[in-house]
Amino acid sequence: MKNQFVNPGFLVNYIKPLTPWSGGISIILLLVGLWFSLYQSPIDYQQGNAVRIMYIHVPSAWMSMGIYSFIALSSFFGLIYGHITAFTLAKAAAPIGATFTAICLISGSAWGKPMWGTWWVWDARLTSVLILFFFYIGYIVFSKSFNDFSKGEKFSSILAIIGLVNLPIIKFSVDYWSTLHQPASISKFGAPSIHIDMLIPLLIMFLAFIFIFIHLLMIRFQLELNNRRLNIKNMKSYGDIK
Amino acid sequence: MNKRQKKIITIFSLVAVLCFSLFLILYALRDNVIFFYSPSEVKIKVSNDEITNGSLIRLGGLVLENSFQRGEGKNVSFIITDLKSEINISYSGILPDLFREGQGVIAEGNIEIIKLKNKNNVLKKQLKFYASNVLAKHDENYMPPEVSEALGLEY
Repeated sequence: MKNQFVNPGFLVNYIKPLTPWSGGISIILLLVGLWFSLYQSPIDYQQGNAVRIMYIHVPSAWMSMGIYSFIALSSFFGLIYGHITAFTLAKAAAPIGATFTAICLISGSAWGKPMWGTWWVWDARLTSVLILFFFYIGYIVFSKSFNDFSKGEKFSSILAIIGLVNLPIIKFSVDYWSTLHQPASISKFGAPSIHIDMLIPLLIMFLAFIFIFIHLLMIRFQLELNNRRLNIKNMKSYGDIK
Repeated sequence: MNKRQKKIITIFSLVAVLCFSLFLILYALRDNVIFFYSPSEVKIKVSNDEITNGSLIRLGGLVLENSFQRGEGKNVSFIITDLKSEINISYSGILPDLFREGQGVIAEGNIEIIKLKNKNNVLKKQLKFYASNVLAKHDENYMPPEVSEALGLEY
């Protein structure tokens, strides 16, 4: 049973009927979350309505780091066990994670202009998230720049694991160094310093983003698997492998 | 040791070496990684001659209560404090929305060090900061205005 799930074809049979469900759930959660965060939630005592950017910015920041951990972990198992499923999952997740990182950077920039008075500064938090974005881009480019997919998977997996050291830097940058970005409100010791009426929409949005990720991952997994089959077919027709 | 164990050890040692080298790099650059100095840090650095007259620095802290003064046109002056030491700031330009007394701000600009000799012929350094840009920090607390009023926070 355990080994069956490692077989990509078997996994596709399982996830195919699940995709409409995950799509439906993510749309419902997104609509509920947006209604709560843009309309129902209170304004902030300092930031006014600009605080609503948080409901997009913070969940996408969490997603960008979570998906990167997922890619690095899959790459690790891929390197050790050589399972196609692990490599393909990592490759399928990378563009989704890169998009969430881009959303995080762009929404953060749009939030920074009215609140801080600047679109961008080179402080430790902002710079380390930009580096995370470059790691995503590097991973995607690297995994596609070899004729032989398995070679690209190997090198890009090593890159993904190297990039893992960036994650604690992102997390603790606001505590170790003085930055323009404020310290964490929720993932810290003690009670979250965010009011419950704002925390609930934030968590709904986070849940919605998780479901969007799962939905896109299941679709992209099948796509990457077909890409891989095509690659093998092409290589056979060019005589690279027999 | 089989091939799989060798791979695991290689990957873990790679990550360990990376972490260590990164730690050394960030430790060496710790002065450059921080985004701003506090007034106390600036005063220590001035007395050690690490910051010279006209240096471009970023200075961060709280705007001292009742220190904000409006001059002619866009000219303003205020004091940035870290509750230990204070530095006078003069600035000409647009202030961010969140700028108010008691708020955390970061001023970017040049520092002027005026050397004065007092009666006993002891050299004293007086600091003046000409900001070219002022950024507002906001804290990690989020709450509706009613709650902050109930808590007695100024808004």
